[in-house]
Amino acid sequence: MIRHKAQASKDLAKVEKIKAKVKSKKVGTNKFSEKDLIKDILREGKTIGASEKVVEKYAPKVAEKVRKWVEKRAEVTKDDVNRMVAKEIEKYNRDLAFIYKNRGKII
Amino acid sequence: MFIVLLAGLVHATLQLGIGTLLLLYHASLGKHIKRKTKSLVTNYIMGNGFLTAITAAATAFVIFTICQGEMSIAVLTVVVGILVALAISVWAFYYRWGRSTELWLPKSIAKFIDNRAKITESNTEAFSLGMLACFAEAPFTLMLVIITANSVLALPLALQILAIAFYTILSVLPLIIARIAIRKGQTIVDVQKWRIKNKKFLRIISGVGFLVLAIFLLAFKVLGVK
Repeated sequence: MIRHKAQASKDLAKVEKIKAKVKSKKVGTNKFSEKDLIKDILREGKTIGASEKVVEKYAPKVAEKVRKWVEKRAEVTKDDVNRMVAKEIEKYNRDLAFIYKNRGKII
Repeated sequence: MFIVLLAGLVHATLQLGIGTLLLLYHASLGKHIKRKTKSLVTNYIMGNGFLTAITAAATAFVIFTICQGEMSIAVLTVVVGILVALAISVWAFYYRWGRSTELWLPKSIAKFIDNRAKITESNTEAFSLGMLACFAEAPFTLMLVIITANSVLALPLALQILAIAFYTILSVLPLIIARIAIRKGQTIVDVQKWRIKNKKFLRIISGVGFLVLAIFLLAFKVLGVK
């Protein structure tokens, strides 16, 4: 029993060490913003020539779904958010989904 | 002149210039009116072409100064070897693996170019972005420029300028074609989908181009076959 407790505390100390290392390697974090995502979707819609009125209709729905998905997670990367946006937006506009899937993958 | 034509075509198959053009289009279409975007893209293509032409002319001058004419057979043999190595490099790691058109560039440089494309507001910045894209492709294009410069030295003076202009036009031809296509109604998504769909073909063509150039140089310049 005492050996198990000692082992558990050693493991905990290891995990704390790893967490500290991971924290120090972080480049930067931003809070997810639904408003910013809607603006981003509207801007991306403009680049592919999609009708602004049509994009305005589904952008808030997509942003809300992504916000709910993000809230269930402690941390997400930009790529995760882009993938989720692409998944949700594909029902409305395939070209827009393509842009989100291929962000940062042009060159 | 055939070497200049071939080198220009091989240069045209490389993808960094067109990738950066799409990034510029993407960043600009969301921010500026179409007229401004057209102007930025024109300046981007001019920047790309300008650096290519200047590099070719400067390289010709350097070769002429050092070698007092064209390069010797020994140097040409080394060039042939490097071209073969470039052909293998293009096949092996010019494109990163996966269903995208990500290139061999280190991520930090790709991100830097992406960020520069996003904050391009003026024609001068677009021009320098074009030069940056041309410069970043230098590991693959330098040999092509050297071969072109060497071939140009064998021509009469009036034809030398024409040959450099011809090479420059060929090298920026994909950018011009993409610009015309987008102007005619294609979107950047269409162009990017085309690039992804034909990635293997472009990779093969690039490698084969380098190889054909090497064989041509070996046969007609090094071994002196007539």
